[in-house]
Amino acid sequence: MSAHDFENKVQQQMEELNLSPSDAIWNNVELQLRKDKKRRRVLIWIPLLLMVLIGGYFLLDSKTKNNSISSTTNENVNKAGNSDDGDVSKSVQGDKKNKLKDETVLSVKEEKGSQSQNKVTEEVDNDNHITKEKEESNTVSIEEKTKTNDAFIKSGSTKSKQDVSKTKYADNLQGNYKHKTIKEPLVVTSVSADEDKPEIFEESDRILKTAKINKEDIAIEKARLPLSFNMESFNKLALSSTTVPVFSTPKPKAKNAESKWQWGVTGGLGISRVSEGNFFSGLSGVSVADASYSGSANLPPVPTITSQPAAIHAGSSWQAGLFLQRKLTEKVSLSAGLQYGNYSTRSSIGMAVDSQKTISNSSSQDLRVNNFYTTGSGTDYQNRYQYFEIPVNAHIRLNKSKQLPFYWSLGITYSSLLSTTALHYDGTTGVYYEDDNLFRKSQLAWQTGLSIELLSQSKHPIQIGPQLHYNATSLLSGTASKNTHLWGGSLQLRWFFKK
Amino acid sequence: MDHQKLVNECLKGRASAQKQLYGLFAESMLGVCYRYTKSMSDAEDVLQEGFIKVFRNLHQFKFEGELGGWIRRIMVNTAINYLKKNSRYQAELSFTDPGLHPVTDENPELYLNAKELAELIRQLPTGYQTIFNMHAIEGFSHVEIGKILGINEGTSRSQYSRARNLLITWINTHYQQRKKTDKYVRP
Repeated sequence: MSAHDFENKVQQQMEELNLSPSDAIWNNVELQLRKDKKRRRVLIWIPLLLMVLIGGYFLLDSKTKNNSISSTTNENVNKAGNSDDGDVSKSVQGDKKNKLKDETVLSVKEEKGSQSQNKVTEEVDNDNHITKEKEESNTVSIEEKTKTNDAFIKSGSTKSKQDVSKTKYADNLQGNYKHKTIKEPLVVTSVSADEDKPEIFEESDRILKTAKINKEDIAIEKARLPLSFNMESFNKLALSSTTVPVFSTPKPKAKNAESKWQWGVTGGLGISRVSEGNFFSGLSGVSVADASYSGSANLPPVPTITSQPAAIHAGSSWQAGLFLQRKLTEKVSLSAGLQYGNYSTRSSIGMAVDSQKTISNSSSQDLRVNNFYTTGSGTDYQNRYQYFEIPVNAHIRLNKSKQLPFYWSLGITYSSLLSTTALHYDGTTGVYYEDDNLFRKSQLAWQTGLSIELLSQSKHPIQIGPQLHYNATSLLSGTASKNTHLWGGSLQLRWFFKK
Repeated sequence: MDHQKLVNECLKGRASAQKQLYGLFAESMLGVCYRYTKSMSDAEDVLQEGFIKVFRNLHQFKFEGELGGWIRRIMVNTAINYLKKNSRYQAELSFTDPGLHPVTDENPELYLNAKELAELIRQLPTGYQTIFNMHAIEGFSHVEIGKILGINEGTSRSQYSRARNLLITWINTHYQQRKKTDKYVRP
């Protein structure tokens, strides 16, 4: 009987050892597999959902704009159509509040009759309301009700009856005042105190129903008005007949005090990988760095008898931090921040061995490690890199849309390696081991990305978009350097807390 | 369904194929896990963890060897990691190099069935048990065992030798007891 007979017999018998596992085992395995599947699905659906949300926002935004424009048009038409009682009011309303602040409404009221009273009222919409206080005190007060707007106009008025050639006036207005907008509020008012229903030219009123007048155009038209109805003569007439027309430009509206400083939180989720070569001249896949000591210059290198190091595959990455941003111009902003970055890559290696081993590597020829990994493919190992990062970025606005601004960002990041679990390979003994000293502690990276700003009208807008980053500094230090670089792509999110 | 087709179906996420693959190897793999642990509960834990790894890494199986062999390697790796992580086994896995070790060429007859032999192997101290399983049954060399367990090759050899001697002693004792019992039963 040979020395190995016992082993062969044991091996043979153990091959026959079959035991029935309990049903719970498969249930647990199945449960875990389902969880894995769900997790994968979530990862697939997140970008899809984001795309749908962004698409929906675009759609909603464009529909809102269309509705706003059509409703304004309808409103104007309705107002014009409901002027049977002779009181015609023309309102020009922008679809957005901020637009409205700069717009005025020229209101012309008409009262049928042989005697006419001119009453040109400018109404400022959106809280820029100019009210007319007629009646007992023979005083008209026109004021903007906007809390922040201090345009405040009052005009006294007395009885006035004027004969003005309404036909000429209408002719002048007809071709020139249609659909023109007054960019700065202009108030032209003349109010009769003793008549509730003042008269105004019928024809001119009809024309003015849809008229939007630019201030500049008014100036031009002043010159064009016939002598019988130019502004000067109008004023003179008004004064001589105790009617006090007031041409007044309200004070420019005080702009909302908008701080140039903004801050918020930022985060990103994506993939990272390690490649060899330059980003611009081409990157190639890389294996775990063989940092084995190759002997002195005079001696031939120790021949490697073990297998090749495992390839490094892409892994997940995420970042989180704070940023401070300052608006330099309308289009350009500059931001700086502090953030934590966690990047990983994967390698298929053998088993973990908790035992001391002496490694001869290029940095410290004799390194004693307390644990290491064997070669093989049983373990899917994650090489993690944790960095403290200081990113500085310039953000350039690419479009003029206030609803959906689009930005391009470009910047650099200084990173300091906090810790890493990344492995090196020792070609002479065929083991993988950790040694932080072989990594560069400081990294300089550049990054660029595109982002779109959602909820831009709110106080807490969100910028979201893809970003590419590339560590220009080599990942490994000293003699272990192999021109390997950490790089990757991520979906970045910036949430502003102060705007 | 052949193994290649089965693996491909599993990779597509078919639950029925996954269950079929599990059913095909679960019993034999539980035998492997059983040999490395001290209780059925631990063996089932290893089996569960091992099969999760199998399904997660199935895309890495390139059909270059037997599917059963690939799964078995995963189970053995999982079992060894389980022993290393589990506090109940950690203390017994700390190997000391005793230097000289007994050399024996004794090859006793095996009158035991698979289950009985496995029970005896599981009675060995954890260090002996692990090395005996790895060398005698899985066929790892002492160099490989040394690398995996982080011990010297010599330590592995001496530990194995001691394990083998102890096991043979137990088998012989068991055989003698059985002979006595048989005599008693069959006068």
